[in-house]
Amino acid sequence: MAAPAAVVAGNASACTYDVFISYNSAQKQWALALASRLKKDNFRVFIDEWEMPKFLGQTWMEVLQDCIEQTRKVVLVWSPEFFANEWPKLELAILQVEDPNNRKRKMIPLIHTQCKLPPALTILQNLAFTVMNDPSRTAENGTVDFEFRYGQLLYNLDNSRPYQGDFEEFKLLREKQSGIIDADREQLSFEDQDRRLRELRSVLYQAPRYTTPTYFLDPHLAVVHWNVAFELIFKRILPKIRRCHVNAFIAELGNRKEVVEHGRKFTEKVKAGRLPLVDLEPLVYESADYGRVELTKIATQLTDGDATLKAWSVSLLVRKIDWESFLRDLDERLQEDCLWGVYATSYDAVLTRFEPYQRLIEQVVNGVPPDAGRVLELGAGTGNVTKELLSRRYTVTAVENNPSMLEKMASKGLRVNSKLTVLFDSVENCSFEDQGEFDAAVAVNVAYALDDPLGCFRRVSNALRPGGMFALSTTHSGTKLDALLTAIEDDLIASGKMEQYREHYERLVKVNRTIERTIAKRYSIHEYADWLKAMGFEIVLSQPAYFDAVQVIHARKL
Amino acid sequence: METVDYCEQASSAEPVHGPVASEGAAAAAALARQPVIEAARPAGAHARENVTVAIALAVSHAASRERVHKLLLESESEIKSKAAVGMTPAFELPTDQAKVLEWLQGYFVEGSPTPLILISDLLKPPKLAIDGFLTRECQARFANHALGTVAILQSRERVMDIDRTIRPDVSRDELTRAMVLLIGRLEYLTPPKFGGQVDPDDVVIRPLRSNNLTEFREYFKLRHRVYSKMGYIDAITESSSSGLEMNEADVRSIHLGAFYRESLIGSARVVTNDVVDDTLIELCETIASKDPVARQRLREAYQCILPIFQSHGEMTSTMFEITDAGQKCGELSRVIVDRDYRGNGISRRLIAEAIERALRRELQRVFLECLKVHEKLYENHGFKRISGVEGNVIDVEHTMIAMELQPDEIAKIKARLD
Repeated sequence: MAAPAAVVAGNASACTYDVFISYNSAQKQWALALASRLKKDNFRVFIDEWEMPKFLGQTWMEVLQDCIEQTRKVVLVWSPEFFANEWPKLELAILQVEDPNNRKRKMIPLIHTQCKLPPALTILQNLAFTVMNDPSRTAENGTVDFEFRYGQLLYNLDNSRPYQGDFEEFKLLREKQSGIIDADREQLSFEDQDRRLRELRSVLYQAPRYTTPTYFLDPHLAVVHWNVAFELIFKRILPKIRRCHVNAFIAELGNRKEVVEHGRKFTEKVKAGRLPLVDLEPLVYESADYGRVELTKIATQLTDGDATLKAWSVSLLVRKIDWESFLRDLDERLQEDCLWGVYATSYDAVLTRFEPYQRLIEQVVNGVPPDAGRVLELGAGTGNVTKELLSRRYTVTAVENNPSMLEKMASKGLRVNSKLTVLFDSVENCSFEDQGEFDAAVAVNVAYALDDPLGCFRRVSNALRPGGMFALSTTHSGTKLDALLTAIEDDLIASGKMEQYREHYERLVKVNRTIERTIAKRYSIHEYADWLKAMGFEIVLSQPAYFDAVQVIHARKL
Repeated sequence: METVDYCEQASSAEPVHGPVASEGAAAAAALARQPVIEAARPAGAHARENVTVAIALAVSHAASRERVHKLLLESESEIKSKAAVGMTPAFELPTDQAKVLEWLQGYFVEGSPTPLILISDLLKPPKLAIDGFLTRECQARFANHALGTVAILQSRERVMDIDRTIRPDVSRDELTRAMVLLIGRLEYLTPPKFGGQVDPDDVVIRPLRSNNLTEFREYFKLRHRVYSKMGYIDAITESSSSGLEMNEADVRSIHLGAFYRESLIGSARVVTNDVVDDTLIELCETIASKDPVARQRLREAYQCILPIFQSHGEMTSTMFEITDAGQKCGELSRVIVDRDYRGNGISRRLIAEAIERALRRELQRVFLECLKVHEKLYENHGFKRISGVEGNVIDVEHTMIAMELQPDEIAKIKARLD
């Protein structure tokens, strides 16, 4: 095996060790063999047997804490004994304090012997870097094949290096386990393949949202839309380019002179009747969050059935970026987006039949005066509030950017018509001003999820006419979800629907608990009130609702 | 884009009979249904007979010279009837660039001679260092004179600063067509003999009404009619059956018309860097819906928001200044007055109104591109040449200079508006 000269890109030098081996003494020989092997391959290894003597005079606890901190990857040799013993558990606890969900992928579980995992660790089981267990590779004595494990471990320690072992076999195994292929299955007939593709097509349109940073231009080159990855990199300039001519975007680039020159040549071609179908060029952007970003632009025409240009899709292949930060943020943001999407199905299934939820919607919507005409709805979700607003005969502009939620909304028959406009945009940065003046704005359980509530309130204020109403409900620092979740459970049991809805209910609970732990309590009622006042609102009503899970606020723009 | 202005050169002292206003819109609509050559004749043209053009041949290639000679003789009567002109026998010039130039110099030096069409295979793309000499000099010296140029080249593609190009194997019809269009252009460059003075009060300058499709259609047709004659539009647009000259910049522009008793006789446009106007998109799309060429033109967006930034690489930094500061700006273009109404100061009024409208729309800077010969004219309106900026305007294939409305002029107009 070739020596891994720089296993760790980035903060490698800051670490004292590349690998920390956490094991139970029952696997001591195996662990030492692993350590020796890693050392031979030029990894800096911490294994207590070798390293502890260097820390004479310090307590085990101190050494552990320091060393784990100073190590890039921690290999956990899992076995029944591992979980029975105190020490490795302590190490695990130290790790989990630092990074509870192992997002930084510092922990690499290596299953030495099949064992039952403690519930708290089951989440780690599904990590991409989990080393697979393969019964066929189990040695006679019940432990696993060392070579096979070692190959996978190296791949996980540094997956940029080519895997020189039995990689094809390893990949096959993984694919098999994740159900991607099944070697034993017969080939699909063409009819079946076609049918499967057709089934996929209805959701495939969501794909660009989760891939390469991409923005979309209309035929007049106005920036009309973008995806999550683009939003992350260009967050700071989004308000400047939204719906503006692409020129505004170009002006923000590091190599704008070259880009304009390229654009000029492009336009010359267009005017000569040679409109290019595809256009490639390098772009550079100095990002506050991710340093100098180097991209390759790939613009492709999107044409309709008559070959008429309808839009440009402009994908930006990332060639250089602060990968660690970018991938971390992207991962987080995409998880969030997908989570909301999946969550949408469950909460919609459970809540639309939950009477107190309907009451909450009414309580909020009651803040909209009966004579209001145009109402702006923030975070329309699956359209439950939209429905209520439309039933009261308001003209609604609904803002939502989650494709799954929008799909759900459409499935309820809530489609764009003279009374309803749907803006596929994020509440977080959408400017509503160009939509004309609104008489009222509504946001049911949206504000807690905003990173910048103040900015959002400012934009709402600008969109409202003087005297316009802003009605919202949101969780806050004093929120407790117990009563609400219990009520939902009781309701499901009482109506005999628990079995039918169990899966949805459990997901709802799980997501709500996550939200409760992470974002629901970020801001207090006072903060919300202060922000509203700062943005020119007077509070006309503020009261707890929905089993004290949220506060309902009605505010009037002065 | 580029501005074209004719009326200021006209010295229409003699009031003959006034333009046939009642024919205005109806006549224009009727004309639009006819073939392009017919449509190129302005309303009221039947009244003119006395225009005469001269032809000069400087063809070095013997076979080409004979062919052109022969075809000209054959098609003379057709050209005369279609363009309603008289033609003098062709001059034979020496086939040497310098000598041709010398001859032209002599020809134009005496007063206002008969409009002249130069047919030559010595006219080459101006960017060619030595071969392009004649084309460059013709543009520099006679752009303001009644000189039309026809180059005999291997390719029929339009060449910058040359009015028409024909191939050595040109057909009779092609030659006739080129000549008729070119004569139309020359007419524009000479004072109208029968154009008359118009009571300024009968002419209204105002923005086009966005609820009036007909008004916009007439406007795009007027642009097409005049620009075809000027040789400013590409062959495809020129030959489009619906006769509309429109492009993508129209969806973000202020459109002005000059109306004589409700019929459109002049146009001006200010392209802005504003957000595209949805009403205009819809309007333009509707008008273009039956014309594949116009529809295509509406989709050819400029990457450098204003056409002037597209033509002049030197203006990139200005463009960034504007974008960085979030300024609004505009570009005056398509200043056109129907030939029959020239000499009444209408273009001057169109320009002034366009500037006012632009400033009312809060545009902070106003640019334009024009032929060098029109520099003086725009200086009178407070524009000043941007030094070092000269480029090929791709839409019209002519070398143009760039000008900007001066801040003190803007301040002055604004003070008056307030």
